Amino acid sequence: MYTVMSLLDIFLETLSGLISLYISFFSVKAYKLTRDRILKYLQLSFLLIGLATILRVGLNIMSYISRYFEVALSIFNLIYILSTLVAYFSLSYIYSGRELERTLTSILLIFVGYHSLAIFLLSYIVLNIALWVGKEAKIAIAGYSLIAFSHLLSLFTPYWRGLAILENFPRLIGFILLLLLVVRAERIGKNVQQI
Amino acid sequence: MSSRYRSNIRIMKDILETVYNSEGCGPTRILYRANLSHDRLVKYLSELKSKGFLEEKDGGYFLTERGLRLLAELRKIEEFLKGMGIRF
Repeated sequence: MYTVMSLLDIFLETLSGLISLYISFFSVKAYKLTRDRILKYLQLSFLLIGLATILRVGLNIMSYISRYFEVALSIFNLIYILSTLVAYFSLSYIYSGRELERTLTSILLIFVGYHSLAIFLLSYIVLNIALWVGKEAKIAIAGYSLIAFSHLLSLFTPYWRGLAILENFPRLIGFILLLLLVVRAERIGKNVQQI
Repeated sequence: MSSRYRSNIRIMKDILETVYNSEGCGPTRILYRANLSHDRLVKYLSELKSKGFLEEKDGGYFLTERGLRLLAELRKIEEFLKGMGIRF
């Protein structure tokens, strides 16, 4: 049972990582075309999340084969945490409107723990979208909220190990929703070319 | 990214969209439709022309095949960023 759950965990995490890399790839293409700084931060954020997730999954699998990789995995977990925090920070920078808010988020980065800070940054992103954009971006709001919810579940994993696997579901659905935005945009582009 | 900020994406798209909708037009029309100062318009038009997205014929600007493709890509990017809730 434990192995099945671990495999499911690895599968869900891999999917989230791949989706993140695909969103980053879309943003890289868009950045090359426009050289716009928003897209630069967007590609960096999703690249960091995607790469860190895939590498962690890889090391996780290798740790089943050799004990040496267990050490590497525990070291890489720290890199993973830092990478995702930098990614969320970079995302919140895109959504942020004022210099003061940017400074406050930087200060908070130093003082708060990983998951709580991730929840804070993601909630901040959701709040910004809801306040400034609203219904038009409801898919992005749902996507980021689900990723935040997965971090919330992570806060309770020390109390119930089963949550370690459950947390990947909302995360994956969150990334799938963000992927939908890329797919929808691609479809619109195709329609334009037919005009 | 304050509400006054208008990104390269939006400016380029506004210019190309104006030319596309008018099936070729002069700089004054682009200036009004894209809501740009004269200096910025000149900068953007010369960049888009040098990269082969626009061509100038008889004092008017026309979209090239590359320009049409760029417009399609910019519409995709705009849709994506709007969906992501990013103000640009």
